[in-house]
Amino acid sequence: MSDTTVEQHQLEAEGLSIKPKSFGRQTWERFRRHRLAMISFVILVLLISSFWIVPILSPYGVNEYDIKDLSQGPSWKHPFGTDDIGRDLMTRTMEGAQVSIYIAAVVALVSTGIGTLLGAFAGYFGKWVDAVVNQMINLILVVPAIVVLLVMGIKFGGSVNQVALLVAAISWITIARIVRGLFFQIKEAEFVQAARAAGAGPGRIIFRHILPNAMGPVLVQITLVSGAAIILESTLSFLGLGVTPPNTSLGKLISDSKGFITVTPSRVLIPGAILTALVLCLNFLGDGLRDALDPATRKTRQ
Amino acid sequence: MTEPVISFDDLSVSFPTDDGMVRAVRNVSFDVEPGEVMAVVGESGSGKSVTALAAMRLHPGSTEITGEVRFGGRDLLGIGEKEMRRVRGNGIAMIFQDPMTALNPVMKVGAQIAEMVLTHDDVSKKEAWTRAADLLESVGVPEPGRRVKQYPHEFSGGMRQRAMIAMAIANGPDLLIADEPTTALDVTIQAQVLEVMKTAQEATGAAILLITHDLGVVAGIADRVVVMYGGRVFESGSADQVFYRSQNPYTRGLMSSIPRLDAPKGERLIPIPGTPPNVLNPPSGCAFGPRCAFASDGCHEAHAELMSVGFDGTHRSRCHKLAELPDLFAAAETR
Repeated sequence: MSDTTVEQHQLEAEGLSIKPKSFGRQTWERFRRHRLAMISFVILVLLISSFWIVPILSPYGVNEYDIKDLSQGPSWKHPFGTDDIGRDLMTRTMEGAQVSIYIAAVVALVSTGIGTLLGAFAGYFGKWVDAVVNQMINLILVVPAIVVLLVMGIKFGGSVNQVALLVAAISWITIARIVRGLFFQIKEAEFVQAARAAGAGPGRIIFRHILPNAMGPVLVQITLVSGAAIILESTLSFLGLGVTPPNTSLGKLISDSKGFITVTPSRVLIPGAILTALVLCLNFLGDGLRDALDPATRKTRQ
Repeated sequence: MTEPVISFDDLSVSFPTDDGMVRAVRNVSFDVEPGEVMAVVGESGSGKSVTALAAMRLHPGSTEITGEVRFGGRDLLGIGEKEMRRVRGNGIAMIFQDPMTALNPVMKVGAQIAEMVLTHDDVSKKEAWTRAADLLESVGVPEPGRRVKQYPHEFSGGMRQRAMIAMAIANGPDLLIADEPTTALDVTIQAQVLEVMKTAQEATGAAILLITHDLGVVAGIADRVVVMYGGRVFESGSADQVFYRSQNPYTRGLMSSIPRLDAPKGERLIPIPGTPPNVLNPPSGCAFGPRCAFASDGCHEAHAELMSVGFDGTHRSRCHKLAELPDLFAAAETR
């Protein structure tokens, strides 16, 4: 038996053993202690799974209408009520929420991809690469996003994927800015210098050495971008430039019901509440992740 | 005589700052012979680290470099970046000062050593990992099979520096550049790490260019010493020559400012007065002039040349008063 294991046994006997924990495990333990984030996480899982389960269990089809039940409020037969042509709103809301979630996922994926890549190159190479990326970011920042989306929406809007890509075309800048800043900071670290001294090229340094060290804040940002994407899509759909019938989304549901707010207020309130819950949960999740990934900021906040 | 592993020839390095050009290294020339330990000693800002970084071409893009760094029959300052990348980690490897920050915190130690192997050698991933474990064992890390799968934060400082050494010798380099390799470590660990470096050197036959401000480290390991001050070489020679027969007021000052075990009881340390020269606006004349006990008016007018002392040309020193120094030193001793 070697000295270290003897020592280990002694320490364990005294209850002083410190077993090194992996970074992932430490993060998970800190995340679990963040109550708000944990609750949000559970609610998110429940909400999102219900979006897919409820339409399967529901006796009504998405576009199935019943002319005997027009513009009903919530009831046992139609828990979320019906719309002006008698469609069951619970089924429709769940279908619409699916679309919203799908768009959020596509936006998160695409904008993380573009934002990380451009931000990484800008931060690592600096100089003209940074200047070009920066100008792209500035351009998107100064022009009001909603105007651009409206104009582009007229030409490209319509299908769910097109709306998602439109939103992603704007959302990537927040990721790019964060990644760029992190790269500027991390590329000065000694281990990057050491990697260079070991003969590593730019590709290996960017993707194997710097990027994994920047993933924490990026992960947090992804949750925030997804939340923002849900809102942006809803805004677009509300203004009539998002998804088009027969597709629906949370924003489209609210938009369709705006003329009926005095007849059946629940038609506006329910999708609105679900939308709010989704975005809030995503933001709290981001908060929890940030605190879990970077305990230092948490200490200063308390 | 054998060909030197690396020779610095009239190397000058300057970089722009907001306040003007900093001439960090000025006309530095010295050779490192195969298998020897060459120590470059100096205070902060003496240009010792910049010299080492220039050899690796790791200085920032805006740096201006003149002179030559000859390695393997070519001037490293004149080759392309791709070719330079093949030299880094392969021909010349570097050990960094702080093992806490020089290892990637999110990569397993084994992966980092294996990557070093894979960069320069066409072997399978599995083989590279086996080599990583072997290398860790060779630098005295216990249980290498378990250790390769751990992250740097699970290593102690001394173990991390061993891992850094393992990485550095992975490809059997001709030259190891160690930039303050023991500065960030406990004194007890320092000796161990130096021992490991020495063994690693014997195993690979590499020459070591040791950058340090710690004269204790130099005394323990160096064959030859270069003393730098204000970006210039002030004295160079064998460790014995520089330590025991120094012909330079600055080197003398350094020696008398460190505590010695064999000094008579009650003897005081003699610090060097003043501060290192302002690199932006160095004093005219000898850079050490303003702090030198022996300086006279002539010292402040022009900087001295590096001259041979003794007969075989191995010991060189830069001082205006080279001829009078033995008498001056003797007078200072009796005071």
